[in-house]
Amino acid sequence: MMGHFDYLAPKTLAEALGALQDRGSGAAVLAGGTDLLVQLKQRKRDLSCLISVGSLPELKGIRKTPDGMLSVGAATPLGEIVSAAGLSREAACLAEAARKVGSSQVRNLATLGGNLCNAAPSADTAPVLLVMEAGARIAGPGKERVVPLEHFFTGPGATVLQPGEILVAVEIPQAPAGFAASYIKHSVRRAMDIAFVGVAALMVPGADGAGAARVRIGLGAVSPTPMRARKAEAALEGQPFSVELAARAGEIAATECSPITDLRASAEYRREMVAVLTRRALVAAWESAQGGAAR
Amino acid sequence: MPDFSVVGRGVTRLDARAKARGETRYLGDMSLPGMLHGKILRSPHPHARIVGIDCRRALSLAGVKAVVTGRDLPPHKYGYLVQDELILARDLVRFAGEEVAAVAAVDEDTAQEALDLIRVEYEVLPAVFEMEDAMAEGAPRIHDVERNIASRVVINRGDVERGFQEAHLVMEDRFTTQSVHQGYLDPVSCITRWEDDGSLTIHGVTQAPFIQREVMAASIGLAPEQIRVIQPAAGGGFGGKLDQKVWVIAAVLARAAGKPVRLILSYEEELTAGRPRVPLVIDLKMGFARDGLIKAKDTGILADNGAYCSYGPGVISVASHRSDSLYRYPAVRCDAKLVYTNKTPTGAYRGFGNPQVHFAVESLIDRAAVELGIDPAEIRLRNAVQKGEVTIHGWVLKSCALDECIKQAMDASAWKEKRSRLGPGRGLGMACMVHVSSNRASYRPFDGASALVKLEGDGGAVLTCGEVDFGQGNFTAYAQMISEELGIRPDQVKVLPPDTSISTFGLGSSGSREIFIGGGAVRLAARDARRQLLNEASVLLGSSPDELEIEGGIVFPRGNREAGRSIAEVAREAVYRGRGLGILGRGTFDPGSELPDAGKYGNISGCYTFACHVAEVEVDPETGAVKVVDYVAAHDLGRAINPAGAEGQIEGGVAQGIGFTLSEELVSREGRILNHGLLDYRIPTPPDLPRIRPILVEEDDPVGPYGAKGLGEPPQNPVPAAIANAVYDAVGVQFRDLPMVPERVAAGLAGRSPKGRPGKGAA
Ligand SMILES: Cc1cc2nc3c(=O)[nH]c(=O)nc-3n(C[C@H](O)[C@H](O)[C@H](O)COP(=O)(O)OP(=O)(O)OC[C@H]3O[C@@H](n4cnc5c(N)ncnc54)[C@H](O)[C@@H]3O)c2cc1C
Repeated sequence: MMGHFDYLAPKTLAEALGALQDRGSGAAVLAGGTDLLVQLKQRKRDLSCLISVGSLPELKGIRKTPDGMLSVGAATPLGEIVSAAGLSREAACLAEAARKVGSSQVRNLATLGGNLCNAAPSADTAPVLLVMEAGARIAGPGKERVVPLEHFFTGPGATVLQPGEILVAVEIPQAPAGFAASYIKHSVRRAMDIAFVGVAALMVPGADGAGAARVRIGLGAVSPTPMRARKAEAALEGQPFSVELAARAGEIAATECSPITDLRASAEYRREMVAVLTRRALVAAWESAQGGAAR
Repeated sequence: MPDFSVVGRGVTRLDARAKARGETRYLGDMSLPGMLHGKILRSPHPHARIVGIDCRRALSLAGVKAVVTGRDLPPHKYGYLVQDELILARDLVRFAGEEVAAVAAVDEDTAQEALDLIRVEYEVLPAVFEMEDAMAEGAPRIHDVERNIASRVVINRGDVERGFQEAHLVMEDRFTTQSVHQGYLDPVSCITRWEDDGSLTIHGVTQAPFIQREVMAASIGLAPEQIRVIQPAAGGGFGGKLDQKVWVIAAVLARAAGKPVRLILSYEEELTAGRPRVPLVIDLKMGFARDGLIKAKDTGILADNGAYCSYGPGVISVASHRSDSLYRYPAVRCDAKLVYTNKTPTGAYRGFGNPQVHFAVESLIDRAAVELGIDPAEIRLRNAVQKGEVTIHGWVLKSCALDECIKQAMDASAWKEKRSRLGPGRGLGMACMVHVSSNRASYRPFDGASALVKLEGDGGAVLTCGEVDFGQGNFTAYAQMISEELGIRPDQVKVLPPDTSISTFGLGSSGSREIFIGGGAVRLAARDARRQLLNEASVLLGSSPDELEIEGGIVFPRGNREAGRSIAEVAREAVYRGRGLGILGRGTFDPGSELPDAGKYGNISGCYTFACHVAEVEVDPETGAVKVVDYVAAHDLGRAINPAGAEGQIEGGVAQGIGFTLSEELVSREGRILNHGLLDYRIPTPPDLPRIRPILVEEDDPVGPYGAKGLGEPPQNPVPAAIANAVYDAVGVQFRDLPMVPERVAAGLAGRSPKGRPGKGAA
């Protein structure tokens, strides 16, 4: 019940980019298909050609570059990301969020690139990548560029990707020593559910140990795109950390976001949850950073 | 309790291996030569007049073999209890999702494409979605009945007014329950084929092949016997497969196309146009003496029927009085109304009205206990009915282990140590339940079952009957019964799914009747086969039947096993000596239930079952998330034929109950279901479930086979109240509206109702 389309499985990135250009607007990239095939079956999209990126070596795998960056191929299944948690602390943070997507069956198919390019405001890997200030490596006809993830999303289901472009990898810079991050997903079910609200927090303790030198807060499902809560971050940076302060930051984050009311939750409830869960995510990150410092 | 060799022992289900290996062939795996694929066009409007339908473009699409609309069909009505539906709408549609036309084509894609080419012109009519609005003066009439009231049940027994006057405490509140889908994995489906002689063959899963055939026959102008229903392997039903108009649509498509037609609903169709649970609004008032004894109860029920009746009238009948046989009520009154609205028709779902009402009653009792300063377990023990009693509605309790269930659930859950003594946000809650095991009122002529057990030349046995295993495992229990009686292994028994042209008549799987009634017949058929076997063997062995014994597949004179003959040999001989007929045991069983009178007085079932559940929860006071962390479910089931199967029934029922309580809800706006996918219709997944600890409380029932009673529906009944009471214990707020999703709980804890979400409000 998906209509008819051509299916192409190029062997190299160059071949894929060529095909994408040739086929024009009726073509789309197919990764795990866990969003795209559902949209086709529900007839939300009408496509004449699917170009699989599943076998492009350039888009596969997780590796550390010599400069300490973690590069995750866009076509890497989330399940593989979960298994690679031991690679680095950055990898562990991404794995924590990836683990919360769908179910193991879904994670075996679903890719990181698909999660980001589908650009759902609730995409579970987005908030944690935002707080780690990841970049999106994008290949287009004849050129590559890197876009900070914060500028990658332009609206629900929309990204900076131009026709003919493919997301190649997500690049996570090495985080400052002593950092810790957390991700809290709030949904009705503990698996196979979409977040009402997702909150990621990253903290880098300051030299005095009393407060955070750097704080990053990422929010999901509460604005047209996954977003950073910069005012809340600013309220914490350089201040002695306390639960009260984290709660205040939560209140600020709640005013920064712009949630909507839909089938899953009301805007009011989402806003309240941003306050609560931001506080909890901050406390969790802080405590984990303290634990890390003690080791 | 007497001991048995196979009955009462955990046995691997006959179908377990194939199911675990993915080898079971469900309807979706089957096809017939030349078979076409059917699809249904549904109304987008909740209430509209059909001005015209133009099928020409659809008919001219390559691959389309038939298009059928309501105007192509004779105007026979369809319906189980009330015939208020057409096979396909003619002039009016009454809910968004109603069947308007159907297409048969060479494949599903073509059929789907053809649906898009059918032009239907509608004139939209004013619609009503709330029951109060539907009953209001001047409301649009959905059917030709006063105030859109489809059915009404009034119960009045004892002096309710005096009871309230004498009461020390009177509690009153409104409880609401939502519409939930049965959630089976295997959607409603069938393959229909017209035979050369004009009869109709249907392959499809139904819980009641013989009843389904009667209803279908009336709606397409056939005699029931002209329809042959053959059951394939079934992937669940839970009440949802007691009413399948889809089969009739597939039949008319097959007739129009002159080819077999397969029709399988999508899950979107299941969720928008299935037959989900009837939502109730329950106004409950109860009076209690100072010592907690119940003095009187008064209930007002509004039941949202949706656009057609299906099983609605039966559901409100159950809702009106079934829970009254749990305690010693001196006086009860109930006024239950079933109201038509322009929404998806509702129907039968595990418990049939009972889970909804138990939620209300068991919640209010808990609050009364707290008000009176009595332990909630104690107030239940004080009111509990006992074996040997006749309840307020004339139900005769030949067995009853309610007390024992309460005590065992208390012990297992550490009730005394934990209730009201857990840390902040944690609590323990209890709820009890009563249920029937068969329902004399559901099919008036008869409340029994029959079975045939044929002995095979290899020493095995074949069972045929009109009963259904839609996944519960009762066929394995039947095999155990036959194995017990005949001295063969359970895996030597083959249980054939019903085929209405071959099986003896049966009512099928509803009303928790399959072990108690179906099993009753199977046991007697097996005994008859044993009697015949001994007779045959006595001729071969030259000794009288009562000197013979059977063990390990051998029939032998007592004390002389060497002289014995194998069952296989005796059965083979019997075939020749009987000129082919062989050993064919017959059994029929009727539990002696009686049809209640117009006021619902009468011993409606052959036995009654009881249970006590205790839930332990953790409530997140900020997010409103409720997590069930432990769950004990003690069930009075007479005797477990297959304890592993009984535990599975309890675990499954509790899991479904947790979904009903915490996450599942068909949300509609203006009559249209918004969450028509399984992502937003949230059936719990394994991480959402606690450890469920079943307790089998076994006290033989004098009527049931081997003392067994029914366990199909009961495990879901107490769940919502057990959880709501645990939340009450944890946070001091009692939630009266299901489901208790986080947003609603958070709002309730903050002392306000949630805003802005579609669907109903109020914490
Ligand atoms: C049952 C179920 C549960 C789910 N649960 C969750 C959940 O809990 N959390 C969550 O966030 N999501 C969830 N999802 C959504 C989905 O699984 C994820 O978004 C997933 O990561 C998408 O990846 P994919 O590889 O399947 O993408 P696809 O479906 O293949 O593609 C998605 C979109 O991205 C585009 N695309 C993919 N890769 C590239 C690329 N390299 N370059 C350019 N464009 C590209 C495609 O063209 C398409 O538009 C769930 C989905 C299902 C079916």
